[in-house]
Amino acid sequence: MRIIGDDRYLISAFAKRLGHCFLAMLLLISVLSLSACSRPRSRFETGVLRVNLGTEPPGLDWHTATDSTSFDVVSNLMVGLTQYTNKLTCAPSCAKSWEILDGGRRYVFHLRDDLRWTDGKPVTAYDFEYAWKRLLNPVTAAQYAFFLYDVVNAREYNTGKLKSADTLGIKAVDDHTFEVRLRKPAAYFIYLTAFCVSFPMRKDVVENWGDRWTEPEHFVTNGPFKLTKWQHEYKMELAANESYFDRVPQVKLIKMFMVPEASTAFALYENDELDFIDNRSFATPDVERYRNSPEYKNFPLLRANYLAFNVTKKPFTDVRIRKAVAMAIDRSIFPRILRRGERPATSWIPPALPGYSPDSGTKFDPAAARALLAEAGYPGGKGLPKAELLYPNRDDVRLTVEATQDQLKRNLGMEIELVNQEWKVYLATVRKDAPPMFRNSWGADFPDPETFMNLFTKDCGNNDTKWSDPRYDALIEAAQGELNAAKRADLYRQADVMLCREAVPIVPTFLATQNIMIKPWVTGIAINPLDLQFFKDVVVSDTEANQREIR
Amino acid sequence: MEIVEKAPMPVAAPLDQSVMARIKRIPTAYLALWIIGAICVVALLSFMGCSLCQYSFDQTSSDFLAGPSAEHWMGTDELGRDLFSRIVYGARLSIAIGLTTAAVAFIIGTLYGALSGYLGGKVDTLMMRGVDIAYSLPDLLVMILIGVLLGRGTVGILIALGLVSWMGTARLVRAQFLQLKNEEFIEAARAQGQSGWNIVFKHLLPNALGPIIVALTFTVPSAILSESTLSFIGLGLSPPACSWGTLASDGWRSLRAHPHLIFFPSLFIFITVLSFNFLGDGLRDALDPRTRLGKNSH
Repeated sequence: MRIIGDDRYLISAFAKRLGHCFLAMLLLISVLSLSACSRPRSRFETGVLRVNLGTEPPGLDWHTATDSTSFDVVSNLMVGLTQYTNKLTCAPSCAKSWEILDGGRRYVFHLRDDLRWTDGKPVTAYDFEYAWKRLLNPVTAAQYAFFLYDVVNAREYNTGKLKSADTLGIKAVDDHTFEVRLRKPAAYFIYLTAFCVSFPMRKDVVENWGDRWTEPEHFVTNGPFKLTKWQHEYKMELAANESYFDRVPQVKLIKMFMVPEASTAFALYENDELDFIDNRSFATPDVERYRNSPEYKNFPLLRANYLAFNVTKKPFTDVRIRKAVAMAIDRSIFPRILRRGERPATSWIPPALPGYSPDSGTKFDPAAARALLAEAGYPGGKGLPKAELLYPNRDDVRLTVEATQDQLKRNLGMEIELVNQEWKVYLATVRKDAPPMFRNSWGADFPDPETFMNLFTKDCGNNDTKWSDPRYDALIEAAQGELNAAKRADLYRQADVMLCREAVPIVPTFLATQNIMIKPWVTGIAINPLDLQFFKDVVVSDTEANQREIR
Repeated sequence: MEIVEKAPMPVAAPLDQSVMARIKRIPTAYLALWIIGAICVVALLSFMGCSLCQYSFDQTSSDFLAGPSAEHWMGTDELGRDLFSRIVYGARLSIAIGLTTAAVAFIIGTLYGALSGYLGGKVDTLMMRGVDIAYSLPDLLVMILIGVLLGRGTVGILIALGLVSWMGTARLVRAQFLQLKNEEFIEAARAQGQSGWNIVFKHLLPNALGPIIVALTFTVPSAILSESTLSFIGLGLSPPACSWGTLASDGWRSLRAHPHLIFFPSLFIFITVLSFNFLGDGLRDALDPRTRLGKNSH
């Protein structure tokens, strides 16, 4: 005996549910087919390049910026004393020539006399002097101030031990001569003059507008492009700088969009709304679909990922256990799960840099690793405390640490607890009190082993492993000042062996890659292993020659 | 299963027919009950350590991102782990979270709301301002604070989710009580000299139960999804452990290239949520004393 109302209710409820399901399906289908329809008639605009920055740059003041998004913009707006060639050597730029005197302790740069800021005033050596002193001024609080610590009295001034900037080894001799004195020879010093933080700066502009000096209406730059529009959180526009001393770029306008969501950015590229995208604009499965497309390219980067130990925390106070971990991880797993052409790493100095040797680190050898662990008193991993491994919560990072956890469990019987934190929290935790294990990465600032090796010296602010060894520090100190290339490479190699085979405060895991997709009508985008992107030679046009070159 | 047994308890006595029998007459609710029952059994077996599948949930292989096949029914993930095994493993946490949160919301919310609504007056005003304050605190913030206090792990998640989800139920119960307590049948009960306890649990609550149950069925799915948020910000599960929420949030990025990674976890969430909804609808009809009275009078 059933009440009629019941039935009616049931039917209507069921119909309503079905209706909801149907609506949801419709929505899903329309989202999925978005990429297939609504193509605009014109696929591109000649002379206009559209790229994705991913996020709003935190700031364009190249003294306080520390992130790659800001540097991507600044590297196209500014030039320094020297600039990188495609082979990562330093070529003249603002400086037409330079002399290295006093056995590498004094650099004299001779500036071109046709340099102009975007407001028409000449670029002088005094702009460099002002900029370098501002970078080192403790009031600026520039994280990159350490970059110039090789300059006489720079460290003392930056850390507040020296109040006056007058004794710094930085001096504009006249409008076109800039002199730098170093406290000791530094073989890599010339590279620093090509990096963003060493670019000149206009004193009057900075002091006049304070924090707002990088807004388009006040910003004064000297590079191939000038900032004409900045719609925060949406888009930046860079126009070709007609007063640029070198060749004025052919591309008239660069539109830099800020699309944070990778899948959205990728759909925009597929819809011809973007001409160039890189790692930040697609998920790995998207890359795979285009692996054989002429639009897709893959470049090795000087960016190394590593697993680090806090050597003051158990059980990793024992070097044998650290070494066992290093030998129990099969690094060939990383390119297979990340699928972006990563290269497994066995040494901390990456290939292509002086001092690299594939044998500096340990090889994958689970049997030897188990033997080492047994020798340390934990046969088969029995009795080992469960160690914590901290990682920043990014999807690709999670995959690598899960793979590491799996391997350590299988090969050593070691249990690892994975803990993730938001990026900034993660950085603070690692700096303050690093857990027994953490996953980190380091991108080169300049193409020299120094940028990697300096990281694990005692005084380096980024050495969170708490490991230090006077012998290692001595090797690095010697290598810094060594001007004979072969001897210098050998010193770094010795230090690398110490790092990866003997003391093992870190386990290098793999080297990252940059993946890009470029539309066939774009040529001339220069990508280098430092991940700096220069757009000054870009051509956007539909010529036959252009098409052929791309293929 | 748990919900079915817990919920009808207070009204068990005056029922002329068992709730079960009434549910049986509503096909969608009956089917939903079976589905929920099956999922609960799987979750329970998995929790007791029975191996229901060929693979362990954290067993990796070199068969990365394989599609569904005879060997891996639902395919494999980026590390070559069998997705079906992970879904079975994930069921225990998702179901436990859904049911526990609903239970906590039911117990705290009903007691609080019943007290507030029954007593009325100043006590009611005071208690409801308490709910307003609890409501105004952002859920995520409260969950993070609790997570930090209790540390990582399942217990922390359960308590955190329970503590942010009872306010709605409390308001609902209070509103029902305010409306019902002036009805004639309550006056009649008072005139008979029944105790406050009896009036609340024998007369008011059974009549208010319908909307409460329906509200609770919505707590279950929202709790399942909230857990994935917690896991994402690092306060929830620690890999390789997984729940349906984490499986879905990991899988949606591969929507276009490897849809099986998002399809299967979502399918299970979808079926579970739908079942709870159908069951909620069915229970409301089965438990409503008014329809029961109406039927008796025929």
